[in-house]
Amino acid sequence: MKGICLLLVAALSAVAACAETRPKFGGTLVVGMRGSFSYENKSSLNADDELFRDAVLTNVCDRLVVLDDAGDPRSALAVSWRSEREQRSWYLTLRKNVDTPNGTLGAQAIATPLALANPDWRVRPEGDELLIQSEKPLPNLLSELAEPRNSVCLTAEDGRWIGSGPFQIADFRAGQYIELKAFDQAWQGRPFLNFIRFNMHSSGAAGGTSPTLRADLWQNEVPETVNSGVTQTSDALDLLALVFAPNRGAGADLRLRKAISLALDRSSIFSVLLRRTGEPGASLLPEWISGYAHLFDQSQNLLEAKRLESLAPVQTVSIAYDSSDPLAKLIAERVAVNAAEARIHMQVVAQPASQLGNADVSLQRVRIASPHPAAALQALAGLLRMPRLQAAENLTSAESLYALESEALQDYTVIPLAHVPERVSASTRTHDWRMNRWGEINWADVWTEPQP
Amino acid sequence: MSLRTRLLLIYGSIVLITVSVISYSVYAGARRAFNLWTNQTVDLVTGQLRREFTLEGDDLARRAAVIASSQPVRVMATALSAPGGDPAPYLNLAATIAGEQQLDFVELLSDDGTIISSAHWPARFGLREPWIAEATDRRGQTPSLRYMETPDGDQLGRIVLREFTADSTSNRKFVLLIGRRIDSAFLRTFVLPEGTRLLLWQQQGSGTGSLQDASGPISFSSTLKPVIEQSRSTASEARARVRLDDSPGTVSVVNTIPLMGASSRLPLALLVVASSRRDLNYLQERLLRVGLIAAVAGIFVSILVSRWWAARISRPIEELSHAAQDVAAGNWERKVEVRDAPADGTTGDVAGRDEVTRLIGSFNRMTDELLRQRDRAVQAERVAAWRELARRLAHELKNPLFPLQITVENMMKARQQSSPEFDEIFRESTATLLAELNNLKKIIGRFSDFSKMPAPQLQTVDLNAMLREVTRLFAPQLNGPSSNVRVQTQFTDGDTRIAGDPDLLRRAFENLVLNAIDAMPQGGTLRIATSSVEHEVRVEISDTGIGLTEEETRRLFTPYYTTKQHGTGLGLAIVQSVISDHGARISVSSHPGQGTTFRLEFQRPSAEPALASRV
Repeated sequence: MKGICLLLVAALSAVAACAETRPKFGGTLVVGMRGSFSYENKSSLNADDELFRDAVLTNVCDRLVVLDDAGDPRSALAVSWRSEREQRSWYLTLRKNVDTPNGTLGAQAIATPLALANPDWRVRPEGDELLIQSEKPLPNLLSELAEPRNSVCLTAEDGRWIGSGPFQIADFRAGQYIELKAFDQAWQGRPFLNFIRFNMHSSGAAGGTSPTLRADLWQNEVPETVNSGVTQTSDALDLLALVFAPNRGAGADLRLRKAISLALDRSSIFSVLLRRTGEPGASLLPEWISGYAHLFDQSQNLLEAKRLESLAPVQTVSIAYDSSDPLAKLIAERVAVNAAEARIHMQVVAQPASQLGNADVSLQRVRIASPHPAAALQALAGLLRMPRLQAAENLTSAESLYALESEALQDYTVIPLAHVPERVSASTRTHDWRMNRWGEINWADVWTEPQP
Repeated sequence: MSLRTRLLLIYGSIVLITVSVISYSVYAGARRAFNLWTNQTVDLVTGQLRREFTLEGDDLARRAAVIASSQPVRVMATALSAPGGDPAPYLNLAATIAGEQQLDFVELLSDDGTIISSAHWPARFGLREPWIAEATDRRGQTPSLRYMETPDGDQLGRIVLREFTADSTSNRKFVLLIGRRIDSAFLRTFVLPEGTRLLLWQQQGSGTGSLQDASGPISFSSTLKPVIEQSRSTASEARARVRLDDSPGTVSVVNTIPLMGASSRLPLALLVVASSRRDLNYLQERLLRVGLIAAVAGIFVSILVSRWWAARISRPIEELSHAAQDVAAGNWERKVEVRDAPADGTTGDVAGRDEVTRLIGSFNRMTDELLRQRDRAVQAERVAAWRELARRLAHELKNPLFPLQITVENMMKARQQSSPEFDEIFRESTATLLAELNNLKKIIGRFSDFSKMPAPQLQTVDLNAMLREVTRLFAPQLNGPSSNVRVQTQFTDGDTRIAGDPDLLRRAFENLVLNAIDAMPQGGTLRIATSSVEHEVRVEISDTGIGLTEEETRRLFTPYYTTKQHGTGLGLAIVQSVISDHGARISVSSHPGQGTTFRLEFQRPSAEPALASRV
């Protein structure tokens, strides 16, 4: 009898334990993110805005293909695919009975946004399949389709995005927040959370009575006064780089650009300013994506920098940084200090992200949205306005990618400094959240405990 | 310039000078007092600055000691003293300290000057400040001035260095640098008296430097340059009076205080205490304005008072002057009224009064005396006239009486002798008697005519026509075979009409023509001329005869005076009487041997009412 009682107690205890960790439906997850994203205006986004946009896109809309943790494609809206004509034509079989708030998602509705996002492609439905064609081979098509920018989003009558994702936009106030509501007809099943509210804030607002302090999850900037429960970081993902305004101002001189590049002390930036997170580098892609980043020379050479400066003396070089990013300010000032060691005077100016191009050189943070090197490199080329790299073909092997990247960086118009990871911290009442290597979070699986 | 005007000027000048002297005295006194006050203010503020600097230095030293021994700094020192210590976690430590301690400059450095953490330029971590290793005072006692490098350029600050270690057993030394900026915010910490400004001058390159006050950079006034250069080159205080900008009323007394660096021979900057003279200028303006108003008012009042006073003084003198002119014009009855004279109309006793009153009394006595003298003269002249008349009468009557007496005696002798010729003698004697009696009647008639000169009956008379008529009247006599007198007439074409009595005037002209003919027994030229001048008609009757002496000319119009052997002396007296009765003037000019000219001046008919009234 005593044994039976003990077994009963043990069983009850086990049930109770399971009940504590079992996902709960309902509730609102408040997310604090830096940025001032307006989904009505997709241009001139900084990395924070891109992160914001991607978070909204991947929740509201679906992609044809997603990548698993290893970076391999998995089915989403497309259940299967095949290529022809040496990967110039791709046929993707579409999932059936996928609902959106405006009805079932058809092949034509999928084709239209994809064609808009990829002008080089010809996209059209072919029965139950979607045909994507290009004049050049598309060996990395599946990785590109997995990028958030290729999410299949429709535009509702009021201008909002709608899609087949687990959440739909319930409320939006530009510069303040976006509130997403669970979509009951999602083909993947209803998410646990009823709402996700993304609070936008500018740099430095994370204090006092800022709404960010009431967030359950903080992305990239965590108030020091908040004791976060769990912190996860992605791999080194965002590229920090100096981008010169080509053919204009002081940055028009190659010798000066090279002098500034040689004056940079990336190790100090990495060890002190980045607190050894991410990785210093002189390449566009981080080591974990490309595998060849270590081949780019990132050492400081003040003697050569001074020699080059003497050949191309200038009065002052203005360097702009995103005024909403405190880390960018420190890095820009450090770059100015390094340049001063080579007798180059740089004037540090704070600018909104959309106006960084007004200075001779700007410190930009660019988000790499794909773990696939070729897709990531071409996406970066597009964001950093490197047309030759963007138009390059034969991005199949690491050797060719290295050669292309080396060639692209030879004119020092873009000088990579480091790659920094995404960092997410969550309170203890937020459960089952996980960030993969390239910074995506499985929002549909997240659940939260009710407020005490 | 009249006496009154002169008195007016004298009084006005006296008032003006008095007001000016008083105003200037007040102005100069206020100016001296304000200068003294301004200098005292500058001294006061300068002393306050020195005290504040001392207190500020003490505060920095105290804070350096507190920071160096604080827990975070000790932790950092301990961590970095260990081999392979990572300075990265302490990147923001200096900024945190700066925020807590309200400092502008905070740096944590290694012993060799390598920056571990910098509050004012965080990005300079890892760089080396060479001067830190060479600094002699790292005990955190004495603040020094130094230009600190910041992203915004070099900024002047007061710096304290304090060396510290992790603990007493540690050999690795660290240096704490703290300080505060000396800039506009620093200037704002001083409470200054009203009207006093505190400026900071800093050298900028080889230029004139920059100037700022509590509100920020201000334009550099070139007037400050000499005093700044003096203070900078001598590294000592200097004082001057300058105008800080172009606006009025901003002249200030400035005192410069050199701010010396730790190792520099010349000051790194200058504090400039400027005490505005705005209040003084305001007072000066007020005094000047009041002075001007007082002067203008004084002049105005002085003019009024002077006018009254000058009039009071000069009026009797002016009355005396006018009275003297009247007396000169013949009005001998003129009297000058004596002020405060008795009511009985007499001038009273003026002996004890002022000079002017005594002068008026003398003037009045003089006119009285003149009147008495004139009366006596008139009386004497009248007596003389009567004597002359008696003499003339006796003379005139004596001539006919002697023939009468002889004739009567002849008749008596003839009667006594019963001369047969008695009848003839009687007839001749009675004829002689009748003739002499007629002669006596004529003489008596002429005297009677002179005494009974009739008043003129005025009517319009054309003098040209009348003179032509007179000329024609004497034409037979003048044109006769025995006459050597030539007549020359020169009548004007202008209007020669006057108001006059034609009979009297004709008699007067005839008399004058006859006199002229009589004056030329040997012949000559008789000239009769008229002219019209403005309101007058002039007649000139001249001869080229024997002329007159000066004595004769002067007595010519005296009754019974004659230069002729058989003249009565009444002709020219009658002429003068007629001319005077017509309101005209007669004058004579003559020189012996050169002839005589009578000039008559008649008023035009515009003077008719006066003549009429006289009539």
